[in-house]
Amino acid sequence: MTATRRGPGSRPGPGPLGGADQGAVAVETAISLLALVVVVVALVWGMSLVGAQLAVGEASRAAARAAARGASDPDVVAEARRTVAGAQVRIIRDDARVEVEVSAEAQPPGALSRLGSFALSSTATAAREPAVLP
Amino acid sequence: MARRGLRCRLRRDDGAAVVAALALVAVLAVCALAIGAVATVVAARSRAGAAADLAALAAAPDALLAPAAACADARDVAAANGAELVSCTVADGDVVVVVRVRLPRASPLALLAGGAVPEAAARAGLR
Repeated sequence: MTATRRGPGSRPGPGPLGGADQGAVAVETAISLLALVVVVVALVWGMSLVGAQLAVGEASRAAARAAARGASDPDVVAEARRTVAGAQVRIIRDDARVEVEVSAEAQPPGALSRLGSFALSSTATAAREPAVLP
Repeated sequence: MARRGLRCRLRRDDGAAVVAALALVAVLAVCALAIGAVATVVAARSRAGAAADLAALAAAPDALLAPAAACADARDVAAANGAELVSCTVADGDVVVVVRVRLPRASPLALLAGGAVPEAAARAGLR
């Protein structure tokens, strides 16, 4: 603000900085900083969700590779959990294919976790190794 | 007159902090979109790699005796993993497959990624 030019927009005040809207910027800054913090927290959490989804995808693919090599079910589950600890692993075998579905839950940070969690999952399909090679 | 009114409005600085905050939010949003686009491509790449590996492994058992069936297996397994078979060549009991993953066309992240179509190749055989 300049003191020499005073238009209808600015109110009379004791000095160059003493307008009635003095402090308005500080209050606004406080409020918008709060909003900014919320946005940043949401973004960081969103990025961690993206990372978690990538990890779940990796886990399902690693597990499907293991299944394609002829690993047993416990080995396939162990392979998936090597990438995502505590993941839920579902293995569906039919006569030609084995499908591995890895799912995990992502909790929001702190008190927000009461709002619920996101379910992340990924599926990969491999061919079953023939029991006897021709 | 209009200029004078504008100047008066511009001289009031309430709202300046909100503008600054909105600008920051816009910058953050662009960062988030960029990270989302990178993640989309990384995920598609990884999917392509796995689909190629699994397709090649699926095709390998038939590579020696039934090359056509081998490539059909490769196509099926690639499709089951969200990829499409680009090429499948069988030579001397080895299968070489190339697959690609198409990003969902509707996704704005895919547009940001520049229409990337990740490809991956894998080889498997009985030798």
